[in-house]
Amino acid sequence: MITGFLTYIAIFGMTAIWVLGWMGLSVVVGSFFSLPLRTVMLVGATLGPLGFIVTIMIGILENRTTNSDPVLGTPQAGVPSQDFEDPFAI
Amino acid sequence: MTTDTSLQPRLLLPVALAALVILGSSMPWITVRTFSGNERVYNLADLRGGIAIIMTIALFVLIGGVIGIFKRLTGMTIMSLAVATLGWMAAISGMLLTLLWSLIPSINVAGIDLAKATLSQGSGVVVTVVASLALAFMVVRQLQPFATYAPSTHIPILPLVVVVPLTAIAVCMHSEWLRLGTDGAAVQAQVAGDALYGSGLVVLAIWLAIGLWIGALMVNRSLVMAVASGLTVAVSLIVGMYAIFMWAGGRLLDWLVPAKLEEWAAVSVEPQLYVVLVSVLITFIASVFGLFPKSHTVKLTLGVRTPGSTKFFYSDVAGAVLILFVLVTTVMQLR
Repeated sequence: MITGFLTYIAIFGMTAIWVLGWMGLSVVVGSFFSLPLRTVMLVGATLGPLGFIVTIMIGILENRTTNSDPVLGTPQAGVPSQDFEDPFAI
Repeated sequence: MTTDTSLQPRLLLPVALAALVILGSSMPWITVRTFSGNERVYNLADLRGGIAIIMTIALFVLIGGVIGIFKRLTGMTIMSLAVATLGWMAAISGMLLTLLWSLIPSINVAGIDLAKATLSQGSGVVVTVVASLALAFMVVRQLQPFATYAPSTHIPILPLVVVVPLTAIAVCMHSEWLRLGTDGAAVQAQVAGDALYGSGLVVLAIWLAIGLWIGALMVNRSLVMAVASGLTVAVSLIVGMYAIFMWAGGRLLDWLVPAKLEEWAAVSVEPQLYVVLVSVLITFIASVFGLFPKSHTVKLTLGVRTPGSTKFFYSDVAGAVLILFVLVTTVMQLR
């Protein structure tokens, strides 16, 4: 009885460490690429190491999309962004 | 997230996949083959507290299923998290043991000295992991930004072409490739694909490649397919070399020992080895094509559903087939 209970706790504990560990790593990578937290947490928890790799790929794909100009397709050098705010301006 | 109920995912396929994962927990997870020709299989139910673990997960799947009737995505997420736990249990136990054994053969498992036996993952691991990954991707593809990249009616063909033989390789890696000694002999060695030195790491890479190809089905972008192709080329080459050396070695031994001394020294190449050789050839050719972006544009177009068309759902058909498989297997196990 006690052995069964301890095995139950040990197996769920080990799996929880695995799931939470990969979720944490995916959240770190997802934050780097500014991906939605809820999505990244679910991807990391359910897909594990695969979720970590998929997060990196989606992050790269998303950055490609957001960094390109909608008309010209490439970032405009020397032209300030529309949402640029000078933190020292009063 | 979608709000229109007609655009929400159907519930039958997720339920069928969850049932398949739970069925996988009753299939062999670890196979120990002793040199006396005996084969012992173990799964989660053999552990003390194992049945309680399966029941806990089944309870969460049931809760997820009920919630899914009202709030589809929330229910599917609960089911996916529950079965992912079981999937990772299978993956961790099998991979940890085979990886450890492929590098340090002299350990004890269930009272058996593995220096005198070989250790493999069972078919239950394949069923559990593949079904839990498929369900996880079904959930993830509903969320932003994944939904942007998920195909709806145009499905890339390349992942479908590669996933089937790659899964066959994963299954055959855990079954016998070569048998030494006759059935009547006291000493008989069954050499499985994952009994080879360092094969634990190769098995990990195969699983990662399978996951990436399932991911390529869901994230419809060249980058994912290119990464999956690169890994698959490497994996195919390594497994191909293992298989060729094993086949050539077995044949060579067979030819070099002309007198079999009442056939006690018989060497037989098992059919699984030939399945691996053919599958490796297919995956290698397909993944080399996958390195070229032009191959990523070849797609299978499913019929677009219009408001007036009949209510035919591909996922329901797949779900019904899986449910039938689960029912038949359960009945056969109970007999």
